[in-house]
Amino acid sequence: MQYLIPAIILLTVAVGAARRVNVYNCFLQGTKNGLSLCVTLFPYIATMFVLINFMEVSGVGDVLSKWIAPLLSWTGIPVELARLVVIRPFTASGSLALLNDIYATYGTDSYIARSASVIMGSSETVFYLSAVYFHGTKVKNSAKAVAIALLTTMLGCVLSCLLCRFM
Amino acid sequence: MNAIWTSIVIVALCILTALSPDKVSDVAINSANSALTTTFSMCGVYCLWLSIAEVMQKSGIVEMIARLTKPVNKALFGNLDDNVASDISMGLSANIIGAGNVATPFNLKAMSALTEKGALNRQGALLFVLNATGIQLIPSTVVGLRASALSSNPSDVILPSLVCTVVTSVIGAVAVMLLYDKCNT
Repeated sequence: MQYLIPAIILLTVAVGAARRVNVYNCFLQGTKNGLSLCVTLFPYIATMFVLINFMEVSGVGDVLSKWIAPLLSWTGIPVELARLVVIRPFTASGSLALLNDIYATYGTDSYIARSASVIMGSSETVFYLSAVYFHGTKVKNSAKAVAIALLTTMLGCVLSCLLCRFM
Repeated sequence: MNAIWTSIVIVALCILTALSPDKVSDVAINSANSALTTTFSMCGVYCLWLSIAEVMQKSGIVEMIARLTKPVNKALFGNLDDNVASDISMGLSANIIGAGNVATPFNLKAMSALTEKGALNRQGALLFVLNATGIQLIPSTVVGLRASALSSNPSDVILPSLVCTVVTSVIGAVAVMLLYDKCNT
């Protein structure tokens, strides 16, 4: 498995050279594109981080988790995972840190930790991605797509906890 | 986004100003700083893969991948412009080998082409929903984390994750099909 990525890179450069592509110029252009992509994305990532950190530090995140906890336990998601479900759509690094805490608190092989792992492994940062994917586009009807993604993610969380009961 | 962002930040600001006013500007500044670190830690990934993509483009490999994944693309997205189709194929391939970050630049290119007309059509919505519900085959980060947290069987979450991902992708795709009109382009 660890040879896959290097092999792809090597193969690409080799094929490029064999077909007389100016590989050096391609790398110049690609790096230029990479940097400008970062510069374009930075404001969206920064404002998202501001939101997440304000939520965390002020305790708004905790309050939100407490509110939805009863709702979650009704669907079969353990109350202990409420924070993870709330934070997951916003940030990958934040929810990974939380996952680590869950491992430490409940034990890596406990039902709660396994459910948390599956939630983490089968979902994405919906809000973050929506900021990135719809940046610069002036589309008005993206809210519907974001709502679909969020609801589907929620269903995924319910399904994760259900699957972990017998898998 | 404006409504969600502003209302949460206002509530958080009120609480913070009342409880610990010294933290307000610290939080904002540190957030921007860590965002910069995150963005530039991905910069290397983007630069490398956009370079590789450039070579692939010039040497005809992109065309080959696009031809290989065409059946999948056609079934999901219908008729697409050739350039958009090859961007989506590259994004899809990157996701399959478990490199979600690598998929982002390709998907963004496809997205900006799909939303050119000012409205999000079914294809654009599908592209977003599929990526936002996660299409990775093996959650390598989670498995790695479990291994380092001394799990007795770190990879026992792979199967449920895979099942879950497939189910959510299907539900998401069906929802998009139902809620977004078919477009004629």
